[in-house]
Amino acid sequence: MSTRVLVFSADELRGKIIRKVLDRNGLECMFFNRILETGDDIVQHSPDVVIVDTESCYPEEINHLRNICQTLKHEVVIVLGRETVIDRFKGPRMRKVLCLFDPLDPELIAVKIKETVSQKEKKGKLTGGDMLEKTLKHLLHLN
Amino acid sequence: MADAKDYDNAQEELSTLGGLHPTDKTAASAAGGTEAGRQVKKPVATLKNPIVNAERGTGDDGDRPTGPVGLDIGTSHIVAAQNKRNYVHSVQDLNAFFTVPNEKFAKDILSQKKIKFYENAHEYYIIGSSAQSFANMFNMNTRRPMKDGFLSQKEHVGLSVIEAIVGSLVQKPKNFGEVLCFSVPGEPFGGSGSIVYHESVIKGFLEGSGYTPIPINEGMATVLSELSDDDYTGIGISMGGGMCNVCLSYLSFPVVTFSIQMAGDYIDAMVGKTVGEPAARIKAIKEEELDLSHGPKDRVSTALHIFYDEIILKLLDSLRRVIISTDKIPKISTPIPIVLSGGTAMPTGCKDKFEAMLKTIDMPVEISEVRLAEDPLNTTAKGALIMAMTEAG
Repeated sequence: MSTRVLVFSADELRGKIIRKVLDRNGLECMFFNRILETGDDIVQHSPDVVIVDTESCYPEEINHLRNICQTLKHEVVIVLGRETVIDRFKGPRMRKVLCLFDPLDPELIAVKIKETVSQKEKKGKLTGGDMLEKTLKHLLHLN
Repeated sequence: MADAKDYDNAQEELSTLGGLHPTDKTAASAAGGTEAGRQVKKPVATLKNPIVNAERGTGDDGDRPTGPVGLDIGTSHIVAAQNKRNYVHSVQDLNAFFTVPNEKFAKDILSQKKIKFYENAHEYYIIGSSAQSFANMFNMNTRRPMKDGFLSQKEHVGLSVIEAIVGSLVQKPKNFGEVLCFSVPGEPFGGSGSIVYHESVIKGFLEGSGYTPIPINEGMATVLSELSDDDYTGIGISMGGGMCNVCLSYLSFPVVTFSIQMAGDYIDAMVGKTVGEPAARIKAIKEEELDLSHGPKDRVSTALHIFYDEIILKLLDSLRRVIISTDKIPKISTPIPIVLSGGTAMPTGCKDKFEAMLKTIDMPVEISEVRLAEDPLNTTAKGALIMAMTEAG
């Protein structure tokens, strides 16, 4: 199954460029520019990766995106923009997100998504394997 | 907005049709006789037919072109490109007019001579290349509906003249709402003029003619026409009469667009002032004799070299400054091409001069090569047609 990516960007041009490059890299990508509806879109489409572009966002939109990022548990989150803005997505209560600073580098985004997703898949497989081993040991009374 | 894949489909369709680049230049009757808008009365007929460029013509010029239209509304010329059966057909005319008093005998003469004109309460408006013939006859200059890339503030009838010229080149659509893509300039760099007003009024009259008008930046049209092999990534520069339009495109997205209000007309006027000759004569020398690949041979060519240098330098400097000052350009990993189009880029050696001057500029993006468009006068219309075909699906 292909990796599903949602891109949120108030800057339509940047959003479309990211979408096009990700599409070309075989990633299934959707772009939304209504930032305040981010939460609904994530629930509706349940993506593997969420890209949050902070460029051209109003302060309240950035706060909203920040809050949304805190609620995401399973998705890979990539935050794009200027360093000063992205710093607001870091902190003790924030979950760890991947930050990519401007200038926009769509090819790098594609590489990072592939890397992160493949790492996650490997981890998932390992965990699955561990679980199987545990179950078998239990069944065979080897513990 | 359509993406590169869609543009590729339109390009493919165009190449199947034979492309726009003429192997055979023929004159054919214009699609005249249509009413182009509320202020315009019927353009009666044509004296000098618009130039028709066609490849693989069938000789059946009685058929009207159909489907989407690409329209280049430039300061000096208006060019329309459209599919016509098994080939692509482009027609052009001067964007100029000349007025004569509204008298009965004048109308008879104009009609007899099949001169393209329309009338209002007080005057006959002779339009297109016919206007140039009249101006020459009376040893006067034509009037121009546009100046420096925009509708001229001085000419209150400018829009109705453009409507009449467009109406003589492109018939009203067979089906209401047919897509027509028309060129618009970029924001002038350190200049003046309202794109919003210009675009809106032209859009308005095209809608009134039954089209669904879609604007396209002139530099972007150059990119669509010429950079399909480069994934529509590169810089398109259209060097026209009133302005030079620039677009940096990334994967078919116009990331940076701007214009400078210095181009062919500026060169003609400045050289004319410098050497004490009429601008029209300088224009003729520039178009027929100028060779920028060799050193100047007389006063006029010396001045032409100097003002070409000035425009190219201004273009390159503004391009450098715009790229440096914007944060919109994504990281581009490979060098990108520059393609030049428009009549002002046509003199022999212009591309080489541009390339040589580019080497002296510290450009923030790496340039792979400088190219001249295959058919510089029709490039914008072709790009607009590709866009129109893409939008029409």
